[in-house]
Amino acid sequence: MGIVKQWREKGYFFDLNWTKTFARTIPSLLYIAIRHPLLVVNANKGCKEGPLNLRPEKRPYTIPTYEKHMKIDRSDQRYLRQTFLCDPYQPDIVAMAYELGAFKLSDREYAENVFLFINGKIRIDFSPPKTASECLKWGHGTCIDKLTLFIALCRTAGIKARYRLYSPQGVEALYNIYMTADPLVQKWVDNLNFFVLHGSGEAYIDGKWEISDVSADFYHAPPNRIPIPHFGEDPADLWIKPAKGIWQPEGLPIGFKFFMTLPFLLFRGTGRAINLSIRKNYEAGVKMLEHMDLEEYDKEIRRTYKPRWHDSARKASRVLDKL
Amino acid sequence: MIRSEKSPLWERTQKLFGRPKEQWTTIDHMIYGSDDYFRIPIDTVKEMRLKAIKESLHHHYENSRFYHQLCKDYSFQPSDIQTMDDLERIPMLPDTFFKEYPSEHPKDVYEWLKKISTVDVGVYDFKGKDLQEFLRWAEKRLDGLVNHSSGTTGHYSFMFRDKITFHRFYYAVIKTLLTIPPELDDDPHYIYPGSPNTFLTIGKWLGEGAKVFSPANRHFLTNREISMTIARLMSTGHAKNFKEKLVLKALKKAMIKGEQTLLELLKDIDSKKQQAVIISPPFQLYSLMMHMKQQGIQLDLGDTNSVVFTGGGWKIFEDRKVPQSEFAKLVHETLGIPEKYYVDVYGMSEMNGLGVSCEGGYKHIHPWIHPMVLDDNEGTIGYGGWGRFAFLDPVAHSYPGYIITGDRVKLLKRCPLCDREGSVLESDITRMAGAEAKGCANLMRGLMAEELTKVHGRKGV
Repeated sequence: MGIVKQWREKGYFFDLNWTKTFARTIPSLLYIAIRHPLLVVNANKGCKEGPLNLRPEKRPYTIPTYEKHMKIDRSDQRYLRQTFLCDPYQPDIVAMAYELGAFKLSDREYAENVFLFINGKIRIDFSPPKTASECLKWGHGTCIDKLTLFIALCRTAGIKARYRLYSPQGVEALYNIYMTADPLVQKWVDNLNFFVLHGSGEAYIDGKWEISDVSADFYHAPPNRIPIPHFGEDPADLWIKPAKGIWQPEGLPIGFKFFMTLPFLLFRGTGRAINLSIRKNYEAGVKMLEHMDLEEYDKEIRRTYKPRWHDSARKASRVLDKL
Repeated sequence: MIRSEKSPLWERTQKLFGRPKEQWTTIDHMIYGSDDYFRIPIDTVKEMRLKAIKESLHHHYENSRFYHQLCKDYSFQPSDIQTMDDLERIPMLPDTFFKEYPSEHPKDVYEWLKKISTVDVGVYDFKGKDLQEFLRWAEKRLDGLVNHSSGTTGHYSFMFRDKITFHRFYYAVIKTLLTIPPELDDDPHYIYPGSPNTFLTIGKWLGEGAKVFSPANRHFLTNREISMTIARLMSTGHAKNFKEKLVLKALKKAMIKGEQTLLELLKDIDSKKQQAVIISPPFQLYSLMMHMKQQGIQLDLGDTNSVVFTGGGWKIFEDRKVPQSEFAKLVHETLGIPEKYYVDVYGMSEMNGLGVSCEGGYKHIHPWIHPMVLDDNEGTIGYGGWGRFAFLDPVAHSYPGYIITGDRVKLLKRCPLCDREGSVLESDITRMAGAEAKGCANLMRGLMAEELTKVHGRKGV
């Protein structure tokens, strides 16, 4: 197979999906920046007390030492091989996969363990892109970083896995944590009515692609009265849904790290403000979960839960505006 | 009770707000064809309400471009509604939606109204820039009822009812309220301690309702016009210039003077042994009753089967709430009207129905209103839990009456105290956290607060 074809398969080029995603979001950001330059200035210098990332002082897990007997599925098959930022053969990843039951448990049981591990132990934050092994080593990352780690851990164990990417629309609680923290981002999202990018994972189990979203840390749910995500559950039914088309690449484009690092360099204050808001919510969640059984909470909340999408209060107004 | 359909009051109600039987739909059968709204068997209510809501949904879906598009955005079609359980899928509007007109220029309000209205508002031939005048024009055009909120937040909320909505709503309200007195005279007195000359919701509603009483027996605190500017001035309490200060002062003076005049009127009605129907925001009646108590005035209006209705918000003191039972006791002590003939009414400008309190203070909701209590994520809580009040109102013909409010309520399946059918709201209705203050009745409260404090001190009775 030619290298170009292989790279195309692996999703290494910014294809039409990426182009469309950027084309419908970046002009809006530029427009806001031109019309409201103060927002950009403030976003850059503001929120000095906010952290640049939410790396935990002490990881809530230990990465076992890699041992030579640990099997690695070095297949060159689609969805099993290494892709950009997704390094399934890296020793830490392999060792952690063993710890989580790779090659011992059934594919479903293992993937579910990975799902629980990432949602329970890796902290969500707003930081530049990382490889799967970096995300594991540092214990934090964006939704895409956490997703890359999920995919890497699946591939190591011989389970096909891929990205499920889209421009999302979240429930009001998510909007309040992530978007209202910084006026620039809020204005941008209000303008678009969706955010640029979100990723859920898909793992091929028992002949079927199972959707799983590892971006929602469990401790984010109770303060916001949203259900705890389950393995195999489409988040679109609960708290985040595609606003535009979905695409399911095998990997991320090679320029992804460079382009996605740019906003963190240009709008450092924005990242800090969002991280501060995430941390507050995290702390509230941790406190609540000290006195609450997660399963009980989930059961209770699902009894009446109906997602309130961030624009639901304004949906009627939006429809009216369009007429 | 309107026991005799030959009563002049009843005849006027029929004449003003009746609808030809051949035009009745299910909701009209509920409103015009029921003897007692709160005694219809619950199974019949459920069946008729579901049918009425389905009919209303089809009407708005087919005739409102806006609502049609909203349904499409929710991937919803009226045919999705088959059973009562499906009702929570109906796309709803937040009550704040009705204040999202682009500007206060009449033409802009017209364009907005044209988009949201399910009925045709015709071409724009209004000449002028005054919004109050535009509302008069729109009311005439719709042949209905137009009203606005106090504008506390800087924006008024506008409700435009066409003739069908207006007539259904008024017939139902008048029928409900006039069946409460044990006997109804042919020509009772109607007393509202406010101004009917306004588009402000409470004044407008009570001014229009007064029309079923004979002109000589309609009594108001003042006939001075409460314009939109004055309403907003009253709601904020901040006069921006000397002229506005003068307006506020004059209004306050008129209200204090009017209160004394009303008291004299009540004494006169009492001495002549005539019947009075008093309807007021709790604050104003409380002020009047405190004056009576201070002056040692006691009337016996109960002897003539007089009744008292309150509505429009229970904020009497900033720092203390007067319980409804205490209020009822005061009504008895000062006006001589038995506690059971004092009724508090829960309503809002977007809803074409009421919650009528029983002796236990529970608010009995009109049977055509499908009440819901929602949690923070708009999931239905059902009975017994506190949450956000929402409702489906099939009476609304000129706008989709599927509204999420800012009121915090608790819904009970049936009244724990009386034997009337249907669900009830607990009396302790407040605003949800974050929801803006509402209740145009409170405008006067702000204005009269100082006066009330002078009469009986900060602590009240």
